[in-house]
Amino acid sequence: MRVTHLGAHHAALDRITTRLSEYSRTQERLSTGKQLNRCSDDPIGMNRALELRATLSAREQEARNGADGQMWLQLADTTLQDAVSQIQRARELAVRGATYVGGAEREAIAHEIAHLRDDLVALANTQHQGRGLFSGFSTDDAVQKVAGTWTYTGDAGQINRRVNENEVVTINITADVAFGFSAGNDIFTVLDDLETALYADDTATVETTIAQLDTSLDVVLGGLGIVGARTNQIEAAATRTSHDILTITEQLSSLEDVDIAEAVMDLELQQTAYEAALSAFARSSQTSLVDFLR
Amino acid sequence: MSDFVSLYTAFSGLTAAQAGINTSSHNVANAATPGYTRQQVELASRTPYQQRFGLVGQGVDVAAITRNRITGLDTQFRISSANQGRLDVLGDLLYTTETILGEPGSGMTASMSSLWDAFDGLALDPPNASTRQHVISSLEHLSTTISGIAGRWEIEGQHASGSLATAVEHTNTLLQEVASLNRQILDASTLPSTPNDLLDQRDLVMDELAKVAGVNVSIMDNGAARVSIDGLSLVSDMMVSPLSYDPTSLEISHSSGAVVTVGGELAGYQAYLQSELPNIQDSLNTFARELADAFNAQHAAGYTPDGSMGGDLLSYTIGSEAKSLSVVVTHHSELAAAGSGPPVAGYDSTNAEALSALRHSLVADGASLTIDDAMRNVVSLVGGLTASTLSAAGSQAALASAAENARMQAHGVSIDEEMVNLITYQRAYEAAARVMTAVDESLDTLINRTGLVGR
Repeated sequence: MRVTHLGAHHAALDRITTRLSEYSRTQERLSTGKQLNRCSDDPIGMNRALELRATLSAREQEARNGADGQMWLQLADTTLQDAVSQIQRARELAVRGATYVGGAEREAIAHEIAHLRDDLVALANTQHQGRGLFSGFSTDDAVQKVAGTWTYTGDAGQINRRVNENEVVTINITADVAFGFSAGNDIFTVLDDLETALYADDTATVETTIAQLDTSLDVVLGGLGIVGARTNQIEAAATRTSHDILTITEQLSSLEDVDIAEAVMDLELQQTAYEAALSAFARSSQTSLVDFLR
Repeated sequence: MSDFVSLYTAFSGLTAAQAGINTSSHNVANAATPGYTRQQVELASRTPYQQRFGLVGQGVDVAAITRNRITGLDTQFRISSANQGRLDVLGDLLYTTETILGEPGSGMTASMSSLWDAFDGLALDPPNASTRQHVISSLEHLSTTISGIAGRWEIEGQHASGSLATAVEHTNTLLQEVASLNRQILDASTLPSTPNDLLDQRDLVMDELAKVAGVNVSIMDNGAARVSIDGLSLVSDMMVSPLSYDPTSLEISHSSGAVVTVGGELAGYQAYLQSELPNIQDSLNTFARELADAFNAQHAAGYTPDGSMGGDLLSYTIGSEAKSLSVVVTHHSELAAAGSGPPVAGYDSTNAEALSALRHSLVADGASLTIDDAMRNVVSLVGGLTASTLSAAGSQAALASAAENARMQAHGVSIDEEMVNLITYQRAYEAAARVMTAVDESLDTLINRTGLVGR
């Protein structure tokens, strides 16, 4: 084959340019630390990476939702535990009040019952992040005395938190359910009745309220059970989510990030190849017949 | 025949050697000239004359100075150079189109994901003015990102159309050049030898024409080049029929009015303007419409704090959905986070939850994809097109470079070869001069020393 100087130079330049562009691409990968710098680097890989990013951002939001839900449920749990001990104390007092005690002691018991009722009202009206823990969507207090009757003044709103792609957990319980309004046996009216009966020395009514207190206790315990079950659900979801986040982050990294060791090796090899191409050209282009003619 | 004939024979050798030396020095001087074809002296021995004892040679003639052009290599090069021109232009345009998307990191996928977070934030704390305002600013960020992309794509299309108009004008200039070179070549063809250097120039212009417009080139019997496209003549002898470009229909037409299918760079611009860009814009428009419709429908199902039904979140103009995408709600009190009403319970976040749940609903592409999927498909469409075009351009560049190299090897000047030729001609010149001396000396013997016997 005929070889000309211009052709040889052109071919050599082509080879050198190819080497240099490989070299600079590896350099870009190393300096950005990213394998995928634009979509056209690897359309399929980039599609997968964007999908993973979207999923990752959804999971992170779900983790935040779950953490928020856990706070709600924990506060509901401790509040209802408190309510349980107050009701238990009220029952003890009622049992003592039902047996024969002196008038002064009976009054003291009635007094404490009033206190316990106020405590329970305060518990039912507990605030979380500025809103009623047990009042559903309403901005009002959960429990108020309306025209002399204890009334649930919240609504039936269910506060939901998405903890997974298709799992939504209700994170609130209303005072309507937890304090017996919906069952027609609210604890506040029961305690009011108990207080009145104690002042009136009405032992028979005191004994009836003991049974009602037992029912109220069961209702609150039932509420606690619901809260506990939801806490378990939300915690299980949180564990899954954090596991997912870890897996997705790993996948994303293996897709997007550069394997430094491999890239450095590539860079070394390409540098050698580039230098070899340069020196080969430098040598071959120096000689021609002109050098040997006198 | 006279004895002086040998002097003329030697003289023809001198002339031939001189022509050889001239041609070699012309070759060496043009070793680096683009498009130059090495020239060669064609020598032929003269017709001998009859002597009693046989035929005697009369020396050498320079028959012609020819150029070593292989037209097959030209055709091959021009075909691959036209393809390369098309793919290079298309690849560059798509590369910019892709860059405008700003993925990954600063494009619409990032704004979309912060909007989902804003909806979730609204669900966590519906009456909070700052979480509500955050939803509006995230919506604005998303809509300006999408409309910004669409706007810059439109400008990119206008740039491409402008470049196409310039390229068509450039083509017409090149056609004029071919025509004027045709004239010079036809004028010179009355001379005995071929105008090699003019032919080289014309080949160079035709190379450029092939790259820009992908035209067909053929050489007619009279030596003029005929340039044609779709069978319609663009240059015939000295007649030029220019091309014209209509920026509205994006068509290129021949001076006869017929629409022609061009190649080369023109085809690259045209492919981008006629199919690739509209496809990409359509996919973003469809996405923007589905996005706005899905959000508007869900928002309309909710209630604002004052108890009215939710209005539109986003608006668009049909036909340019992406570019016209804008946020309708201006004040955070217009956000419908509640799911029932009126009256609206202050902490009712049912509709905010539903808005955030759209993230996982199949509402796009005829209810087969989620919004995120559809958005990713737009990005993938652009990325996939760019990647395949760039990789095709890469392999086409290798082909064109190989064709160019083959041509350089065949047509180019080899310095070594020219040195060898120079030595050959130089020695031939010296030898012819020596022959002349020998003849001269024999004539001297005959004239001055003959007939002196006994003097």
